[in-house]
Amino acid sequence: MHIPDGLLDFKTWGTLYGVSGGATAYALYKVKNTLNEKKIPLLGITAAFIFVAQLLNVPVAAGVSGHFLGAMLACVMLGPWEGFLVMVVVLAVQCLVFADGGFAALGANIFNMALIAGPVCYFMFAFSKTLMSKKFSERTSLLSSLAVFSWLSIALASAAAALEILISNVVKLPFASVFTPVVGASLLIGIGEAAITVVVVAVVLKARPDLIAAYNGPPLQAMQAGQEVV
Amino acid sequence: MKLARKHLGLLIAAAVLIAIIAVLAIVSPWASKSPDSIEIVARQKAASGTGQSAPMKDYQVPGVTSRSTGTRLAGLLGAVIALAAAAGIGLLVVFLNKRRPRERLDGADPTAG
Repeated sequence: MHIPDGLLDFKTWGTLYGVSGGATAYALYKVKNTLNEKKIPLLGITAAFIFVAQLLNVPVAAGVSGHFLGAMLACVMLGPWEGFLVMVVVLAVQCLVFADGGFAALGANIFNMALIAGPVCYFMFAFSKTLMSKKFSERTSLLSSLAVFSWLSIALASAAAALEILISNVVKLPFASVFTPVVGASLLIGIGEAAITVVVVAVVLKARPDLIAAYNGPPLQAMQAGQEVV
Repeated sequence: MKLARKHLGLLIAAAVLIAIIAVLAIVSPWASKSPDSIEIVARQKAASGTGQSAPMKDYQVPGVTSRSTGTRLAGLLGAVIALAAAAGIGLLVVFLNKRRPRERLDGADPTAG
């Protein structure tokens, strides 16, 4: 889903550099209140995991491949703005060290894959989780909301990328030959995204519910009380 | 030893995670070589594939002739760089955040008045 250079015009990539730069500054300001020493190893491990998971392209149709994104995974585990920063790190490393995603397009790639697939989808997920938790358990509400919004995160990020390419009009391709294949492939990739994200979060939730920032359920309070006594 | 035993769960978890990351990097040469949907769009434009320079362009390590070994090494190195960068930013934020209350004690209280 990384946009290479040569597909976006200056007004598009320039604007998105501004938006992504502003979002990064806001995230750095925002995480001051929630970041502590305990979270730092988890930030690093999550970034490393997302980086290697993104190497593994799987075929989604004849001659088309796609890969895991991980923005919703990072946001649910670490918190929305910590997750966003982890995605910024992964995208910057891919661009600067491996030439994966254009340098001019880095702002656009951060906007699509870190901001839209991250905090934007996270806040919709959080809203859905809150609504669901009135009728279902915290665990059920979290995992089912996560399945829906991690699937949607791929579709929205792809749609944003397709629209940026179309608005730039450097390729001069009709709407249907950009938007339809890009978003179409993303609907299939999203199924894998949702499966991996839900399985990873469910496993961590079973072992260490305190490591899921978005989780606020019953075993957690008991664990925190227990830790304070010890 | 006492310290090791106290953190055994954490050490096992870290070892498992690092093993998963290493395995994913090692299997990376077997990933699909097909382009993704945006690369397909880019290839329809004649002048695609700009000469972007990077130390490990296209997930290959300079000097490594075997492409699959290059991909594995690039994957492992990239994971280490991503880990260090993300943890480094986290450390910096925590460090700068901790320093601030001390500065307030030295100077005038910003909350006063």
